Amino acid sequence: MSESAAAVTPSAPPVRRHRSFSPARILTIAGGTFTQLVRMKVFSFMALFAVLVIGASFAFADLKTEQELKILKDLSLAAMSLFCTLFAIAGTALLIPKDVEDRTLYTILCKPVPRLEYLLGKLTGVVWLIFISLICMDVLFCGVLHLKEKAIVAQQRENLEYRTFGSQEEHERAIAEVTELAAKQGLRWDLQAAVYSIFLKAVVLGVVALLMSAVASSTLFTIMSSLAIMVIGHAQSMARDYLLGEGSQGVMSRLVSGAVALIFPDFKSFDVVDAVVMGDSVPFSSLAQMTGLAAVYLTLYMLAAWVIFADKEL
Amino acid sequence: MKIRWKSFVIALLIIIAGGVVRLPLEQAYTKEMRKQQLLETPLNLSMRDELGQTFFIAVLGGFRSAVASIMELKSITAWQNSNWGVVDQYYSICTRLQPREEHYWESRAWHLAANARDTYLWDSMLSETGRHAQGQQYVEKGMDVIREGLRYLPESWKLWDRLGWYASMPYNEKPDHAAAAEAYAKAAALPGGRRFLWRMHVYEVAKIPGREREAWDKLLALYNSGDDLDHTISVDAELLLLHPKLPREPGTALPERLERIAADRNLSEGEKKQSWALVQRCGDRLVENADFAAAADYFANAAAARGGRGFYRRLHAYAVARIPGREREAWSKLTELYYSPNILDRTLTVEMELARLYLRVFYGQPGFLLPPDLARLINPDRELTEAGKNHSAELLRRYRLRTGESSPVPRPPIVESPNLQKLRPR
Repeated sequence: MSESAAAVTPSAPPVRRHRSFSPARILTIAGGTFTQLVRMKVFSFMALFAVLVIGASFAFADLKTEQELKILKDLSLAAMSLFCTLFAIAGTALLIPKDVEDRTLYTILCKPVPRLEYLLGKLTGVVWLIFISLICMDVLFCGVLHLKEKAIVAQQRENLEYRTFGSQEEHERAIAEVTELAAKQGLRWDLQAAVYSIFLKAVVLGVVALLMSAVASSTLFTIMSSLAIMVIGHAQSMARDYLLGEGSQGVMSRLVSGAVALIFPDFKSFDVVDAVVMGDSVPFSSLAQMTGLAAVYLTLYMLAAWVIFADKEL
Repeated sequence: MKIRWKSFVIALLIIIAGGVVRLPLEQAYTKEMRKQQLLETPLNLSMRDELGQTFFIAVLGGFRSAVASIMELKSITAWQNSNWGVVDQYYSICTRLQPREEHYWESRAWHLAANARDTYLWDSMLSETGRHAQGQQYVEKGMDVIREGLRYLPESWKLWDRLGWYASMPYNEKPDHAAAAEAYAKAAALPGGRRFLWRMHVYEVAKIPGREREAWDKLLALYNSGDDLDHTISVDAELLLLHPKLPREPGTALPERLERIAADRNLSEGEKKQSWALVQRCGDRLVENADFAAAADYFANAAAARGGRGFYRRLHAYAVARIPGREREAWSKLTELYYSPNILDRTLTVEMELARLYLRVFYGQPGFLLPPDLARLINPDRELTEAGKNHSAELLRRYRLRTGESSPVPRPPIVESPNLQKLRPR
């Protein structure tokens, strides 16, 4: 009897062992976070960005070729940087307080989800948002820049038709010169290095905002303190130079500069935008070093955020 | 939600410990990136007052390039108002924010050495001496800007080219041809430097006393290069002008073609046309250098060698009219041209020079009377036909251009001082 009963009784589903760290869980939380942010209609900023980029491409038509293209690149990359900064800070600062308010945080954390995974999931969601919005802005920016460059070259070539040249060779040389000048300031692969540096900076800013969000419960405080850290972080290299330089004197000033250098990330490390706009190329090794530095910041501030959040009474 | 201070302290310790580890890494990375000129050096805090709080924060926030572009755009209004101090202030911010951006240095120097100079040279509130002093001061300021830019961009052929131009341009009242020659030579040697820059170097060397032989050899090399881009009409002209200054020694003989052109013999039809252009270029070059006596001699010889063509005779008379002390000779030559049966000889320039000599030199002196038709044209009380009025206006315009400055370069009419515009009630 017992043998036959055992034969017909369906076997119980295998008990899935709970993993202490699961990328799948992080991705689920990240997906939820991304959806949550998209529902806040954040992508409507694209309309603003489009107006700015297209407007800038028409606004300065009376300037020299290099000035015109430089201003277009400057304004577009500055707007990309600004939007990414806002997403990184505001997006991250809003998440934990909103989860507390909606009680979603308790629903998630009452399940066997480690708090580190929760934080990583939230950050990944924000990083996706930054990544996708940056891709959209980049495509629009590159398209407008390409069209602008073509329009300038066409206009310059048309102007050359009214000039008299000694030979066909001379004419071709003039065309090549005009094209080269526009191409130097126009759409180049190196611009993607600038976009990548903006992305890395926004990710580091995101993890800093996450740390502040773990410390504080107020969204406003998180936003303000993250913005302050961003500004201080841009001056961190100055503090570091002062600390490690030979000219630094005075205990107090050394202490202050030491604190700034040790606590804050160096956001200036990611500022290759200026060099790229001027036409410089960023070697792959420099990009790799920049990525490594961003990974160090990410690990460090995420660890600190986890230590605080893990022990926090919710 | 509450945090425990213990975890807060641990987190802070983690960040500080991480900071100690990453500090040398960051320093090495920054040093390397600055060496590659991918990262800018830190901003001077003294710029806060000039930029204002908002822009200073923006610059600290990583928007250095965008702020520089905005500053350049802001300078346009000041430029339109001829407010050169403000233009320079904005551009100085641009050059300090992005010292490796070539066009900021180039534009800043251009505003000072060309635009500001012209404004002050035509400022009705300044005396003649003051206008020239202020104008020249701005030319030198522009050159200083380029020199400062070259400290950051020593490999920029454009900036070396600009330095060469500002040092030797006709608008510079203290031209330094040696400095210009050196600047052009550097520009030509740099990657991307255009071919014409070497020719400019050679032309400048040809203007330096004591370096005639060096210039001769370089000009001959250009002449014999076999490429039309190197062997230009200016090269021919410089060779012709330099030849008489050289001692007779091996290697200083004129090339055979130029020898024939100089002597006006055995010329083909094509060479004849070339020779006319060449003679004019030689004379113009002497006039550019304000060497009117040499130009007069040159045009006189050219006129004699070519059967006294009216064209060279006129150019000779114009050059003589510019030589102090030879006014009587000029008067007789110009009068001869005025009454010449060849209608082409009575040009507006002949009329203008006659009027100028009469009004400025011979007015009231016995034996010097303007031709009656010309006297009618310059007399404001006479009634003129429509064509006569136009003729008179053009004559007056040329007269002002001729007497209003010492340099032969045409200039716009005198404008109202920008300072006066600012004082006007709105």
